[in-house]
Amino acid sequence: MNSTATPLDGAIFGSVTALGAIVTALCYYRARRAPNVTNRAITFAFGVCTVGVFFAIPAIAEATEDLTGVDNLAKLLAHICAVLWCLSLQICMVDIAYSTDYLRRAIYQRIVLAVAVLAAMVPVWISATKPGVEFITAQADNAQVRVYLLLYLGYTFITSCELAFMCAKTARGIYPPLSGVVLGFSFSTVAAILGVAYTISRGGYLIAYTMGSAWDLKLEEKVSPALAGLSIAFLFVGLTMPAIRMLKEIRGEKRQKQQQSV
Amino acid sequence: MLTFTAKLAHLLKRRPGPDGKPISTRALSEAIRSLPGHARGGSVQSLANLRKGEDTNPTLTTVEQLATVLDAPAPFLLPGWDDIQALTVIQHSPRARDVLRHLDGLPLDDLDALVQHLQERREQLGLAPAVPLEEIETDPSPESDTAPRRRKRTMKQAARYAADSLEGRKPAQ
Repeated sequence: MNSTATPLDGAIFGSVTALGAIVTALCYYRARRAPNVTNRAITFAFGVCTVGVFFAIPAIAEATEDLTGVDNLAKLLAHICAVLWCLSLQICMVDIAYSTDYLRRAIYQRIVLAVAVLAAMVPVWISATKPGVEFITAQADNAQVRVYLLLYLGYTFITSCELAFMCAKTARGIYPPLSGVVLGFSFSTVAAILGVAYTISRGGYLIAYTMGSAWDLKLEEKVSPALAGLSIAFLFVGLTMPAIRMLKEIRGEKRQKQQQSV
Repeated sequence: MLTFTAKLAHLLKRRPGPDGKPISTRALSEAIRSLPGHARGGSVQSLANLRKGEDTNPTLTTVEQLATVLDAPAPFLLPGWDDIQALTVIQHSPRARDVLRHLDGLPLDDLDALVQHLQERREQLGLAPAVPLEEIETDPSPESDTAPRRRKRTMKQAARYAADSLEGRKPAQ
């Protein structure tokens, strides 16, 4: 159970969950309008992100753990959602970057990596879960907690690096250079870079702790959540900003229909 | 009028490699470099650009090298010269060139009669009487067997696909 949670955490995570649900609905609509791997992957990414953030709401996390009687279950679910979120964003970018002949192979490679990471994370989580143990950097003295977090953060680091590279490359190739899509991919690039920074901040602390020269925990606890929050916010804006044009087009189509019927 | 890319793709298709597929750009480059006095010619990048249609203005030396390696008349690779069969006959037969010179100035009826006579003679010799124009694909797609398959989309294609997808339009694959 998350003993360090504050009432503000509940409000923040609750708001993000509500926003996530709205964005997922918008992405679902876009995926129905233009059905392809990219749009389905983005819809799944936001859906799974919303579920993950939902389980991070302290009251929900507590209720889940009370209901199942399993400590840290909400944390595991949130981390699984985070891995799936990274995977689906990778699939989205792979669909954009690869030709259809190689798409399936490129997707399978990413799925295999994500499954391998989850297959390594879950047994560590099972063996580490005991009353009083939390999967946070404050418990870095617990070796199993460190291994679990480093597995998760290592995967997030790799995927964020790939996403930063791919988003930046895509943003550079779009013309005209000031369109909403360019801004969207630029925001997504910043989001991925912030994701890399988050994993370096949190993972770096854990590695430094292992080496015996960790920096101030309070600093890490302030910096890492801020980087993660900013990263998610930038990605929300980045991947939904181009849909504004779609909404404008839909409004235009509706007006045209109304005029025709009159 | 056929493009240089289409003509090159056609010539490559006519001379497949041992596996029956058009030879790779690297193999083409090696073939050019093995020509006497051309050890530094035909870079893989410049040939790849010609095959993809990103370069449509090769040097005369490149045209000569490609024509030699692909055993085709060099004029075929120039704009406006699309009849590869006629050019091949002219290239290989001095007597045919002599016949062509004698055709200059004859009225159309005489030329028609001559063609008819030639067709009859070909039939007598057991050859196909009519010789239709060789069909050449005007716009060979990058996915066709005349070009190597790309693992990734080009930056332009990827950007177009991304923009269409995220703006809710059905993107072209």
